[in-house]
Amino acid sequence: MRQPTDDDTLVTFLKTYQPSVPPESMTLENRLMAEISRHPRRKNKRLALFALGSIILAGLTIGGTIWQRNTLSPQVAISVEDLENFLVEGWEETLEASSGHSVNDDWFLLEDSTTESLDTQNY
Amino acid sequence: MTIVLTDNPAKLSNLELVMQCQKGNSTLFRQLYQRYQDRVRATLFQLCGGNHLEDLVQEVFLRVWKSLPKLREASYFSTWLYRITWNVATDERRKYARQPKMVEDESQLHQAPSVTTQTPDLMRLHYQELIQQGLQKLNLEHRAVMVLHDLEDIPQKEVADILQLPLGTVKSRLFYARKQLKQYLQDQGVVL
Repeated sequence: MRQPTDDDTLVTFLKTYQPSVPPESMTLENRLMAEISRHPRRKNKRLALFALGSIILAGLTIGGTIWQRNTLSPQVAISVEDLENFLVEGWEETLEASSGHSVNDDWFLLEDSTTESLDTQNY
Repeated sequence: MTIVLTDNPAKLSNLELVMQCQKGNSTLFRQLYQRYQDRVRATLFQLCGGNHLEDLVQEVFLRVWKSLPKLREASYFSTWLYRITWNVATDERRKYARQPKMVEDESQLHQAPSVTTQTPDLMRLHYQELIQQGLQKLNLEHRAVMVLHDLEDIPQKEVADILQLPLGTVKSRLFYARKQLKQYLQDQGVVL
């Protein structure tokens, strides 16, 4: 068996002779309950606001996602013609952007040079 | 979790009682008060003395009632209650510190108690008085650790939770508080 230490002896002494607590007044419990009835538990407004905010946020997120899918989703070419048109348009836009004038102008130049060469051949 | 309420509130477990009070059941709060008021009262008495004890107990339970919905873990109630008790005690100390000290209180603390030629009942009263004076000589932080651990039998880990301190600090405060109190008691002629 463990020998009691100095601390054990002190704690035993404290527990044996600890000052007795004054008895509870008879009125305290009723006073407390009367005080409590003056502080009725309010509905948690913060919680309600938080719930409302969460619902709105969730609605906006879902709506936004649906809108994004419907409008910004990549369009897939279903026929070879669509793909061809897309490539041509893309190519033309790239050329226009880099050269500063319309691709149609080049087509006209090409057409002119062809007619010219044909004309010279006629000579 | 589902709770089956019995007709007799005394049969409710502490956890069930706390959960019902969290929902705003003021009738059952009376039961909660009756179960815990002894501990709160004893702790406040050891920490703050007998002055304003009733008001302090009332303040603790009023704060409990108002703050119960914020308590997340009902099983944590006991620790949480002691924390509120500690907060009320420290508030009281602050209030007391702002007031001029009563000269009688100081003189009472320094009175040399007469040890000899006393009957057993008087001896008991004398020891009680010595302990009370010894506890009052400790600073509130050291006293709180001692009261909670040595008198209320709360484990050191829980004391650390209540006072929101690291466990090492609780151990060290307990060591110094015991040492100081032991020294005081020995100086007053108590042989331990």
